[in-house]
Amino acid sequence: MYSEYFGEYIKILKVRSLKKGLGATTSYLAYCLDAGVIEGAIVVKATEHCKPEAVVARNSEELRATIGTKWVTIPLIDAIIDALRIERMDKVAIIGTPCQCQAIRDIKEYPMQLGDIFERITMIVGLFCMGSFTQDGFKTMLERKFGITLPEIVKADIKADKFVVYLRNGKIKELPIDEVKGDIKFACLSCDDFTAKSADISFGNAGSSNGWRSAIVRDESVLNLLSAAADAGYLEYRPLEQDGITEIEKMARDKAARAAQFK
Amino acid sequence: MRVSYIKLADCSGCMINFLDVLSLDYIELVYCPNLIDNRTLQQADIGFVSGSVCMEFKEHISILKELREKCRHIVTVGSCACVGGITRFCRGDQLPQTGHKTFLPVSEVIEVDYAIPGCPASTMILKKFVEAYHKGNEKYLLPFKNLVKKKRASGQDLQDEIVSAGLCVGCGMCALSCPVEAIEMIKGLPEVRMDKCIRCGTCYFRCPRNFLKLRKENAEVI
Repeated sequence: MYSEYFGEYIKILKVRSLKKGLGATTSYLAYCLDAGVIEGAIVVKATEHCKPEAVVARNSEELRATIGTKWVTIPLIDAIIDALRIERMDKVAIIGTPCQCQAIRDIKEYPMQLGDIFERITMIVGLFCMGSFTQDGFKTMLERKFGITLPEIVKADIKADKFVVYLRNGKIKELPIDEVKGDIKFACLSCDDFTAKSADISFGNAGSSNGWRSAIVRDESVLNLLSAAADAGYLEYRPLEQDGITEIEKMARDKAARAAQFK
Repeated sequence: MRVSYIKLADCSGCMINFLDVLSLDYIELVYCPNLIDNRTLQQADIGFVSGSVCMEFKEHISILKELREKCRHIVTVGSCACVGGITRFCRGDQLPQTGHKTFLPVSEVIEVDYAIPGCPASTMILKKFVEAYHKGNEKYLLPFKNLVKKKRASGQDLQDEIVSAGLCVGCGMCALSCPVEAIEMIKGLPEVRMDKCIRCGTCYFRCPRNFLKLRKENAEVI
C-alpha cells in the first residue's frame, strides 16, 4: 500500500514489549540480536548529562543501556566506522531519525563512495520525529525556559502535550510542548518526513498509548521477524486502530505543512 | 549491449573500477584502446568517458565529437569527467607535455546524458547504473541525469548551499564519503578543510538533502 505520509508500507501495527524495562523498539532489536538476525545495532546512547553518543550494541545487554529518547541528533558515522570498517560485521541494523534513515537508504541505493560497507547494513529502523535539538540548543533551551543546567537533569520526556524534565534531586519540571517547539534545529523545519518513509520499520509514540507503540512495517522480512519475536515472548502486536492511524496522519500532515511553509 | 570507453586526462582509477562492469554477460566492449585491440570507433549504446578534456590537445576534442555521433548515450565516469575534480588544480608546465594546462569537464565540450561522480567512481555504482540502464529503469537513472547540470562541485559548495543555508541535518554521510578525509564533523556539522579538498564533489552529491532534490524530474541544479 502507498500513502503520502507513510510511504510504501505493508501494515500498521501497535507493538508492546513483554520484557521488563524494555520499550517496543528495544525488545524488537533485542530479539534480532539474540536470534542472530543481526550482529550489531548502531544506536545512540545517552551518556552523562543527556549527552548522546553513537555506539554499536553487540548483544541485548549492551542494548539495554541505550533505552530512552535522546533529544539531540548526532552523526552516526563513528559507530558506522566501528561496526563496518573496523569490526567488519556482516549484518548490522541502524536506528535513526527520518533524515538519518534517508541518508542510509540513499547511500545503499547509490553507493558513490568506495567499499561495500553499506551492503552490510541489512536493516533500517526508523523513529517518528517532529524535530530535534542541537546539543547547544538543548542546553540553552533548558537554561532559558526551565532555569536549569544540563548536569542537573536525569531524563526528559514528552507526556500528553507537555515537555517533562526529571531532575537529579527528584523534582519534575514541565512546560507545554508549544513553548519548546521554537527551539528545535533549523534544518528540521524544512523536513517533511515524520514517519521515516525510507526505513524498513518505523516506531513511534504517536497514535498509541499505555505502553503500546505504533509501528509501520514496510518490509515482508520484518513482519516475519515480528511474529517470530512474538512467538519467543519478546513482544506482542496487534493491528493499530483507525483512531491511531488518523493521529499519525495528522502529525505527519502538520510536519509536511511546516516544511511547505519553510520553502 | 554495446559499450565504448574512452579515457582522457585522468589517473585510470575509474577505468580499473570499470573493469568489473565487463563481467556482466550482456556487456560487449567494442572500443577501448587501453583494453582491446580495436582502433576505430564503432556504433554503441553507451559511450563512457573518464577524465577531463585537455583543450590544448586537439585529439581529445575530435574523439569526443566522434563519440557523441556514434553513441546513443554519453556517460561521464568519475569526478574529473563530471565536474573537473583534481584537474581543476592543474597549472601546466609539466613533462612530457608542458603546453597542456587547460582542463575542462566533458559536459563543457559535448552534450552529456548521464554523470556518475566519485573519485574514483565506485564499482558498485557503475554496476548498478549499467543494470538500471539495461532494464530501462528511468526512475533510478534520474539523479544521474540531473547531475549533468552541475558543472563544478566541491566541499565549498556543500558549505555554501547546504550548511550555511541551514539545510544540514548532520547525518555525517559527507564525511564518510570523502575520499581524502577532508571533512570532520564538529558539533554535529561538517567542517571542510579546503586545503585537503580535491574538488571531486562526492560530498555534495552524497548529501541526502541535495539528493532529495536530484530525485525529482527537472530538478533545478545551480
